[in-house]
Amino acid sequence: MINVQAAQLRAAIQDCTDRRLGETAKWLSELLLSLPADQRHASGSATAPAFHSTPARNRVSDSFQLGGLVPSASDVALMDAAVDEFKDEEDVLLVAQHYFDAREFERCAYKLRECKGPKSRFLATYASYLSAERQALNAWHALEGKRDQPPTPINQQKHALLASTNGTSDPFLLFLRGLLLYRANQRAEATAALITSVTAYPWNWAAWLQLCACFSDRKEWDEAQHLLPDHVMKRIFTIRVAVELQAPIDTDVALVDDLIGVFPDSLYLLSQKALVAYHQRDYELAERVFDKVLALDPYRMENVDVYTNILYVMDKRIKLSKLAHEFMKLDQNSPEVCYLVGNHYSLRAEHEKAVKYFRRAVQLDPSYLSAWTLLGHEYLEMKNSHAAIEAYRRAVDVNRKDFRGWYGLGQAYELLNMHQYSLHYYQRATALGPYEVRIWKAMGVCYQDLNKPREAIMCYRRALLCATPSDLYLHLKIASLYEFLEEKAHAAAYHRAAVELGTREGRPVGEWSKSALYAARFAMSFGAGGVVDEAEMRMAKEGLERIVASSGSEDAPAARDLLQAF
Amino acid sequence: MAASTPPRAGFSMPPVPRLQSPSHTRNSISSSFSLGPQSLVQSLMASGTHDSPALDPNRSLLHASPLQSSPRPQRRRQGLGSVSRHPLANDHQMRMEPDEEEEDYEWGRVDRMRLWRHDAITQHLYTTAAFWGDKVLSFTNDPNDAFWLAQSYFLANQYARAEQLLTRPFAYAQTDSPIVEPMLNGKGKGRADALAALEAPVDKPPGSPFIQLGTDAGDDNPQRLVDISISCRYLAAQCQVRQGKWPEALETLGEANPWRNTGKSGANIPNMDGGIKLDSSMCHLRGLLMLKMNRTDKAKECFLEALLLDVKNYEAFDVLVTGEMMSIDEEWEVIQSLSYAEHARDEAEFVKMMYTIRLKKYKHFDEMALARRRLVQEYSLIDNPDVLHGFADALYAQFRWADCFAITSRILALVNVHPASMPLHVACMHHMSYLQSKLFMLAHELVDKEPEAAMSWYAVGVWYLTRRKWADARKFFSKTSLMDPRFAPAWIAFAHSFALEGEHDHAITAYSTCARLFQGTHLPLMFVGMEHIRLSHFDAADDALNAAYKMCDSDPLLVNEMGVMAYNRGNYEKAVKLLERAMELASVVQSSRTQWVGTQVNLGSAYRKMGRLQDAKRMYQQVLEIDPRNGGALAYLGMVYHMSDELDQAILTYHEALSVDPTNQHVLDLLNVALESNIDSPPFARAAGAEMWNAIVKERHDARGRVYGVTPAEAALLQAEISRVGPNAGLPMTGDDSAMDLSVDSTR
Repeated sequence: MINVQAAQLRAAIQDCTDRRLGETAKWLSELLLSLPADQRHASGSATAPAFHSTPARNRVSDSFQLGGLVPSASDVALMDAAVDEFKDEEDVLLVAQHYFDAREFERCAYKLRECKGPKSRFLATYASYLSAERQALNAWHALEGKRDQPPTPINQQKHALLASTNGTSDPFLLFLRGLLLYRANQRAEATAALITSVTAYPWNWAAWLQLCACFSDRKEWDEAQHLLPDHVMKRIFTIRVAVELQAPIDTDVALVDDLIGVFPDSLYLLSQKALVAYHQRDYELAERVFDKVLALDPYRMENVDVYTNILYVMDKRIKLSKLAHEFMKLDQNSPEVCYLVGNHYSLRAEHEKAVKYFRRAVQLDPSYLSAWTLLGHEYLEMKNSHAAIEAYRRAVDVNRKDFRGWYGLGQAYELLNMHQYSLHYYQRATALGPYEVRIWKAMGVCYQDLNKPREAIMCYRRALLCATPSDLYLHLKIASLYEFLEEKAHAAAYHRAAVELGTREGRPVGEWSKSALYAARFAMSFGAGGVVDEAEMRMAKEGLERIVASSGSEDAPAARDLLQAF
Repeated sequence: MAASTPPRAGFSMPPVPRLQSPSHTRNSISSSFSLGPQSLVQSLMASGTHDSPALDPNRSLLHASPLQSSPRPQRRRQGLGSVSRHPLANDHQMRMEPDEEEEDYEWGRVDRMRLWRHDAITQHLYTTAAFWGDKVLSFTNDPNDAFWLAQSYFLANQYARAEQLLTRPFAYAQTDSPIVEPMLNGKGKGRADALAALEAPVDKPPGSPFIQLGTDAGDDNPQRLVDISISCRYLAAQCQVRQGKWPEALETLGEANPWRNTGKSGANIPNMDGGIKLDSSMCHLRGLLMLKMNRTDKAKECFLEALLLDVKNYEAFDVLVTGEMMSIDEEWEVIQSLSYAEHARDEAEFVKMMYTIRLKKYKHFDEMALARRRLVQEYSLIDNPDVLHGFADALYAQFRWADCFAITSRILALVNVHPASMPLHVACMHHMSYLQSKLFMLAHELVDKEPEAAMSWYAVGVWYLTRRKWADARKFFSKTSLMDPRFAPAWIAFAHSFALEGEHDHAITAYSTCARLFQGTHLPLMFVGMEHIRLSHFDAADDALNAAYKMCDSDPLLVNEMGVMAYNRGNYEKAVKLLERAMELASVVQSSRTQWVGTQVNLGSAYRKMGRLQDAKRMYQQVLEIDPRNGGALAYLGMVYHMSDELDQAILTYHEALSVDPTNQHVLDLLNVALESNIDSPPFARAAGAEMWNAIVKERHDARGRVYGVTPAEAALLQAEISRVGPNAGLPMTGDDSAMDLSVDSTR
């Protein structure tokens, strides 16, 4: 059973606050609050002082009972030594922290330039990083609307900052190093740095999040998994990765429930549960969970965008409207809210307004993947393929693991009749989302347009594997392609399957009558060769009879003729 | 003597032209005989070496120092207070102290005035000095006093007056006895009282320090001072140079060193008195003249001679090195083989090291580093600007601008103005964008403080260059070159401004001018070559680069350019060799890797052309590790993938290249080609696990054929198809088939 000491969490919150990792501290304190009340109070007084600036010394002994892997003792020693040695820096640190809070990053870094303590060094590096980012952003905005504006701000000082973290063993600095390495496209090195960081100090949620960005597919994650410390954070992280990779498996579902058992009031975990359900296409469950989350905390904006996606897919127009109005009142300048409103307009088919809000969302947060994708969708709806391409490209730039961007790109290029381009993007999309029927279908159409029937057939067959077996359209498509190639046996087989499907599902006769005719003709012409067995002959006949029986069909006369020929 | 200056041999003046009127002497400038220094040589040859110090080129001016030519007991001056005392005076006081007789010595009027004269000089009251010196001269008619009067004029910037004094016929023999006599023979001859006082230094050492007349002909015939003393001739030449009378000055100094080949002068003859050889100074001045007259080769010879004659002549060294007159190997050889021991004696090692650290930083890194270290450790010169400059220059050569800037800042904090470090300082500011506002400040400050210095305007030009205002930059660079035509950075920067603006033809002209002016550096030639490459003038580029390579074979940048040329010529093996060598040289320089990204890209391309795709890929990937947004490397990497049939990867990489440079038509075309061929490739190129996929399909068809509407018969057909077409061309694949299998099952 997972056992979490509130004291540890409190210490960790203090650690992150001292280093001004605001989001992490916020997240951790939410986590702390979600522990059952008795547990919080009991352990808080039992162990080390709650507001010690480093993790409690006994973190090693009683952190996680279920796993053998615990942070190494050397790391703990390091943290302890740090405190005694750098006591005299604390006043400077205090000033620097306030500068940081006032967003005077340069000043903060300058104040700390002489300090050697791990906290000061982290804060100095972090502040320099943020100031460099801010400069890059400003320089980027200065180029706005110009031809030479790069798609994303370019931080020129990254390398210098990276060099300044060389050879560090402080877990927080390691986190920064991982972040910078990731930004420098050195994914493997970044992963290593981050894994070291979270092993040494598992409570740093920011490091986990960055680590999550490092995995590009499930395989990489599986390989890295055993390197991570067995910690409650790893479990939470596991869910996160599954959601992020959009491929949660059944164990993840169980894991979420376990964790919710430990942190019964954690809204974060609840919404993770909703996300898992969403990615497993269990929209009803997801909606229910999100409803619960919003009932518990009506002001929580995280993940509300996914909630609106669910409402959109389920076509719950009124609920979405209500949500949009509520959140508009809350904060118009939050990207999530803009996204929500965009979705709202999109559902009402007011595409211009939707575009406006999605644009605003990405302006507020240029790394907002879903907003870019939906912006592309809206443009596509408006038949503005160039703008759509631009938006999808940005989506792909933000996250290459998300197939929707690639798929959108393919669609947009298809509109422009640039099939070779869309083919490539579809290929990318299928590599990322191999179970998406629509991509396979689109790819098949693409091959057809490129006059490659054989490849098209392969795509459709692949689509058939992923689709619900009742997809009549695919069968008909494949059959007609085989007809075109004059491979009659194959064509007949798919026609037969279509007829069978149609009859079983009770589809209107018109949808499959042509198939039945073809199958029957094939059976008749090849019946003697032994290729067609008795059952099939009988099936063909039955099909024809049904056509004849349903009076309105235009194919009825032909069917009658064929029946007579049998 | 005849060998070195053949044209002059016939015109040499007899030692003492008899019965010549002053006017005749003056007319002689335009008449047949020469005013050159040959007469001095002949006098020297005629007299013995030892008894004619005034004619000995191996002496310095030390012995004609004011303090010795007029005996001034220092103790009397102590009443003036130590404030007024010149450091030199202290120096000589120590020398004089042992003279017990001084106390008893009675001062005459002339002596007092000589004292005034010299004190005025040390206190920069040159007009005062000239005034009293003039009176002394009138009293004594002593050549020494004439020399000092001329010196006073010179210091007061009255060059014409000084020159006139030195070159007019000087009747030093007004009394019966020649004036030289007392000087040569000491006291005791019958003379006027005033003159008796003059020869006062009773303790005069055997080699008299006085300016002594080189001839024993002490008649009342007027003789020009320049003809009887080297120091006077040197001073006269200085005056003429200051007046811009270059031909005359050259006449005075002689076209070439008159003492060369006389056996009386040379590198191996140590100077007698520990000072700087006049001979060397004259050679240096001659060199400056040659430069003024645009005879660069000759000038270089002169400076080299000056340095050979006396290593202590730093100015000659400075002109040679700062003016980029010697190529790297030549420089090293010369500086290492100077006769330090003869001229600098105990300080030989020190002088050699000081010179060594100033040399070009493309070779001999270890020796220079050692020299720097020793200077710091053994001589504790850690805060000496010149030693620091050595460090800064070395760092700059390694492209470590930030470090270099730290050191140059330190230098400037120490000395405010350090001409050698200033260009480095400014260049660092140019390279580091965050220092550009400082550069603006610095340029303003310099122009305010020193509008006369070329350096100040150079800084202004660099500021405009940094701001990419080419025309303005050029304006200031040409101003700089006008002010100081030997200021190499301004010339190069002038040419750079053309090159950066894309005016390649103008740039070539400008660089060629640089190359002509600064023959010791390979850089202008290399730049010429680079411009020619840009203009696709391959032959001209080859010529320029080869010429540059002859001068310096260890500059990685140059070797890189040569590699590029070999590449352009299609000689890829040679290109690879050269570029690899460039990388090797770069690694010796130990600069940061970012500087050599270009060379790595080139090397990758050469590999690619040779078909060594793996090497090429490695090279490009290294580049991208350093600089992830290197558009060229991305595009080339895409090509490598394309060539090795990794279409998918190629398309991806082309996309990345286009995200850096969206309008690159070449990459767009390549991408289109790749996408076209992508159509023809099997639809599911990511073919890993093909067999496994086939197995799954088979299994599925066997087990659940019905669900898919496939009969067993058809399954057999399918199977046949699979085996016919082969696994790779056949069926849809993705990388993670097993996962897919799982999920398909679970969704059912």
